[in-house]
Amino acid sequence: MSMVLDIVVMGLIKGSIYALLAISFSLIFGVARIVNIAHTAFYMVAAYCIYTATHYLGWHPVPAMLIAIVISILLGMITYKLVLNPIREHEGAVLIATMAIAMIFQEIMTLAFTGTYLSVPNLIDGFIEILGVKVFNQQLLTLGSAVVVMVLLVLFLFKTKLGLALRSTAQDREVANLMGINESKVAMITMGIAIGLAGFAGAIVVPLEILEPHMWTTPLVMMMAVVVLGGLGSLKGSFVAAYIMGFTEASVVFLSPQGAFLKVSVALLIMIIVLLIRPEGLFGVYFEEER
Amino acid sequence: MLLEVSNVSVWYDKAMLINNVSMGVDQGELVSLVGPNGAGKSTLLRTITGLVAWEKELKKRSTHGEIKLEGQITFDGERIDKVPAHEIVRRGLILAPERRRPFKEMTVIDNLMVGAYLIRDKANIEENLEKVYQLFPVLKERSHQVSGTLSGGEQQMLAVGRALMSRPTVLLLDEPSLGLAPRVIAAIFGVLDELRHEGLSILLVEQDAAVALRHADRGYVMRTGRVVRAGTAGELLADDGVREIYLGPRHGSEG
Ligand SMILES: Nc1ncnc2c1ncn2[C@@H]1O[C@H](COP(=O)(O)OP(=O)(O)OP(=O)(O)O)[C@@H](O)[C@H]1O
Ligand SMILES: [Mg+2]
Repeated sequence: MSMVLDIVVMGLIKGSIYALLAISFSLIFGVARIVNIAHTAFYMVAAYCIYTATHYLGWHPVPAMLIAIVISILLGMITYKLVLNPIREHEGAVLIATMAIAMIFQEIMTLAFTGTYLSVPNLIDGFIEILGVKVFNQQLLTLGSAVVVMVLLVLFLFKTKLGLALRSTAQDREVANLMGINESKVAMITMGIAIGLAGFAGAIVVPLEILEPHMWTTPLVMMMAVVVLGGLGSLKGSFVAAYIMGFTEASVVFLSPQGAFLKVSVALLIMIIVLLIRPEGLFGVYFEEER
Repeated sequence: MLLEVSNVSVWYDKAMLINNVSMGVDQGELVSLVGPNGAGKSTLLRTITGLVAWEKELKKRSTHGEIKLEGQITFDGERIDKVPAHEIVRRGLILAPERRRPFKEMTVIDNLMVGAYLIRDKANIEENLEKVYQLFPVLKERSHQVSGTLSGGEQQMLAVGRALMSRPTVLLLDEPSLGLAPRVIAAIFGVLDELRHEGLSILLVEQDAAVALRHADRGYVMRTGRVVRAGTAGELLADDGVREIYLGPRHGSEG
């Protein structure tokens, strides 16, 4: 029984982080048509920002988190403007460029912080007991804030004018343009918001994770798997698939601790099986052809 | 003229799609631009609304060919051929594009709201919405339906409604009758007549010259990128040459 609860807690946390990452990745892909391989590298940068602020500058973790998110948003927009916008129509170049950005971030972090494993203090200490299982307050905080931000994102997309611009640009950027939406500007804003979300994911997960310069690779694989499993372009699909992957990972870790290193493989295997049955993914949508 | 196209030519790679075209629309006129498949009608509308120039910029940054543009387009006395596509609608010019192109996964009301994107005043938006609902009551009934599930006729009404939400001075329409039943075509043309009587200027592209010219003040006939005939609707309807251009490659409208 207690193991079930352990799995639920870890599955929810992992799932929420993957959901944040996959949804923000899908936003960039949908609106700006950029496959952002560097997505989780921004998540890593945010985590290191928090480490720097709390460890070297002695800041409280909360302002450190806020600054990390702001830096992520700015980095995202600058990267878009300087690197991605000029090559946006060239899919191959975008792939290589975003991969290069991820490697650059990784190397910068290695130079600055070496490869040692670091950690960041919890925002809140302590734990509560649910049905005899220790659940750390930090875990609940991470989970709660992830859910709140996802709700805010949905409200933003469906209740604001800018959200309307994002959605229509994602569906048909030429017609959006015709209606007075500056699609290039919308793409840049989307990049800022989405990288901000990736940074936020990094910020809330960093107290629970080990900080090191390769911490972006496993989440990248999982995030891509989530996007494909949910159906490319479907935010709802990303959301559902994220929790499927999160629970799979948690189940592997708790059910066979000695096989924990297989968690990613098992999750990917599930993805492959689903795709064999439904090649378009769980909520696959067809894409609007452009002309 | 209110909208004036002068000596415009467009090349996609080596192919000349628009060949030195001059034409125009005056205040309050309904002008029909007709011609067979591939004549360049849609390309001309896309040139006027800045989409060709936009595509040209995109192509510069990709490896898929290039576009060349020449000539001059003025609207209300000002040049608009260098104005970016997303600024054109602000000037009062809007296109209901070929194949309707609704935002398929969005609701009818959201589609209409995108049409009113540049309007800041909520009361103005409400007023435009009332007007569109009054012209196309079916859009009101379906306002919360996802637009991809509308019928072809309803999607065309949505495309026109979405364009009208911006309160244009000139409405450009690309083949609104495409694939629709005669009854639905009649309803849409009824609305166009009504809009024209209210003073809206309309540039209508159609393959079916007879229908398009019957509702028009003037017309232009295009073929392989050129304007080959121009005149009043009556003149063109009576012109044997026009009939020949049509009856040759394509006869009648879709069934
Ligand atoms: N993006 C493009 N790249 C290359 N050629 C194009 C492109 N768009 C259109 N063409 C070509 O330009 C010519 C004119 O096309 P256009 O769509 O303007 O014709 P149209 O008069 O609207 O025809 P229809 O009545 O069939 O809609 C066609 O031969 C078409 O193949
Ligand atoms: Mg056409």
